[in-house]
Amino acid sequence: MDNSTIFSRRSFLGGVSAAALLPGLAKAQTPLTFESFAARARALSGFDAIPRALLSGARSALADTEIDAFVSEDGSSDNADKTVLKALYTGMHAPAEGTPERFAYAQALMYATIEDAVNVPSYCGGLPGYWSEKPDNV
Amino acid sequence: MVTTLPQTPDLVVVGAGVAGGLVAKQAAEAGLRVTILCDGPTLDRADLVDRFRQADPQSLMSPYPVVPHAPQPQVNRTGDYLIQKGPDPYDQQYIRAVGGTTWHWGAATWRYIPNDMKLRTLYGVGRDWPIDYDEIEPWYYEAEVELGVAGPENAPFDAPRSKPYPMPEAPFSYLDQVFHDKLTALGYDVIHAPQCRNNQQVYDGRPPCCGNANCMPICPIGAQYSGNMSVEKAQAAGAELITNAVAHHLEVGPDKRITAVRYLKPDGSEFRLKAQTFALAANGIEGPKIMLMSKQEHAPDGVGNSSDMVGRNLMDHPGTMSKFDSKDPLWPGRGPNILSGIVNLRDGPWRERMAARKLMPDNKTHVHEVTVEAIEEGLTGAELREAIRHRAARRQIVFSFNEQLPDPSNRIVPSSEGLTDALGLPRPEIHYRIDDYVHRAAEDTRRRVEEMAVAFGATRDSVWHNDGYLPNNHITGATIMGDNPNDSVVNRDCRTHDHPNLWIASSSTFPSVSSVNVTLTIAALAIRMGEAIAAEARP
Repeated sequence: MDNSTIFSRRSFLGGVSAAALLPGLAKAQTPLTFESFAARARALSGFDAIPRALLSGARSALADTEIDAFVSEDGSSDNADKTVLKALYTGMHAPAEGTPERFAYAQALMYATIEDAVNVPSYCGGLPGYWSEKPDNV
Repeated sequence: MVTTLPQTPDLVVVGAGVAGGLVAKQAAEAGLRVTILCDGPTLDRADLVDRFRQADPQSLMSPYPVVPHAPQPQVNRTGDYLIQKGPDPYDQQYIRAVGGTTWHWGAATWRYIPNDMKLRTLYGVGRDWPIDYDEIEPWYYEAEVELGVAGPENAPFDAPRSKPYPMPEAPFSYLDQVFHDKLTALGYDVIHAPQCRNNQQVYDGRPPCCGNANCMPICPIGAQYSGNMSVEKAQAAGAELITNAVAHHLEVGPDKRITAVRYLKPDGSEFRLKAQTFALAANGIEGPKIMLMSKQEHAPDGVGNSSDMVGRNLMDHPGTMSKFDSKDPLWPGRGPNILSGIVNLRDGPWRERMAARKLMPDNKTHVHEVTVEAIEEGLTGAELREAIRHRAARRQIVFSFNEQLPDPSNRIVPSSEGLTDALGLPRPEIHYRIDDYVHRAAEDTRRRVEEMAVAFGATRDSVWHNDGYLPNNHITGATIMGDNPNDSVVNRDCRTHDHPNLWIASSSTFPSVSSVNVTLTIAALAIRMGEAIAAEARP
């Protein structure tokens, strides 16, 4: 295993937080592995831009071993890909064993996928009665 | 040690949901001194919305806080509280808090049709109601005004009415319009569902619905009615509300009148409240349980139970769910969760051998389901995004409520094995079986949905039916209404045969469950009860 790709939850979040507080230092202090994770997430999700909070939340919820497998330079595993994609798309990590954890709701990518037609449940969709209109994309 | 409270109200209402709230409101507004007991806390809508958004996973019950002294059956974990003795599960969920289970409903406010109340006479099955439709019709209208119902005029298989709905029908979504057009061509009647959700106008201080698409489990803006609203009106009229008060025993005097109710607070301390009249509106499971727990000298088999019918005849709408992928995008998820009903299976001569049904196209988004599905298939990148969009626009679900007949062996009893909750009260033990009357209807529905799917251009392999039955939380029958005290618990007025000052406001009094949501009928009977109690108290 390439130790350069191993990063702990603490160091990952530390990097995110430092970058957020000191934008000028972001490039220097954000661990390469965060960018690797983000790049891999962009490539697999089909989204060119993913909210940083969503990435951070997913990283926080997922196990180090899952992230490591996801960004591994020798090819990520299908299971790790699916685990991370589900987290990014649903805003929740539900391990086979253990307690599910929601780290995002409205930012979850599945809602961005359909946002031109359907609002995120619990948020107002538009003027009363808007739903009787034919969706623009139909 | 039991502390007897100093006040002696005219009426104690046990339960603060839609039924208890409406009885209390009517009585308080008529000038009676009313005390409401609620086993759970008051809830704050904004807090519930936050809890929903943060929940993992998001379910019908996830917004609602769990309090140890008033346990609630949770989705997929009803067995944490309900003791399922089978053979079929009775996986109902309900909310024990001010407002009750109308916090998480679709605001569906259907009337029974006249034939729903004459099953035995017309079809030779089930039981007749001791009252007929004409007697309840004015109360249905009162309930529609109170709850604020929007509905269609002169729609097929909608019940006859003496006055228009308080609000015009809510418009169909594009999905519902397509269902209407395609199914009408197949000979079905698809009508606008009557719903107590504000339709493009302010009503009773509530805002118009803006399509938050989250009626279940929580309407974020209060556009739709929930029972806490009636409780608040009762309080405004002078009613006293005591929360976190778990009623567990009704005291019976030598003259068979109820003299007091005893309740426990979360710390286990016990209080006793005397009153002239009592209305039990404590949910279709908790209410019968309280009655059966109240065994004593003058009620050796429990309160109201000389007929041995308390707890029996438990019903629901055993539900089916079918899915298919339409050829064209219909985009479920725009607007309220349910907007239409497929209604011509509500009645027909075939009811002598199989259940009446109401079918409903589901207008909730299924994006979570199709997302997980596409990821599990190994899709990634642009292909994944496009698959999710494509499927979310086309995944259709049709629900069906099946009418279930009353069967005395389907029952709730306090735990026979000494299993208790945190307060030491027995947990509900459920004995429940779904019979062939429902199975035949479910099979017929599945066949029909497969025919419908063809009209939507769905491929055969995209059609899927659920196994077994879904619970619909329409807890019915366990304090059944009838003219004969030997085989029923309450009379035509919903007053217990055994105790002249004990009334029951709940769907537990219904002799039939029909195929439509039960809340409007609960509300109509509760308003009627409130007025009757007030009239009797102040002749």
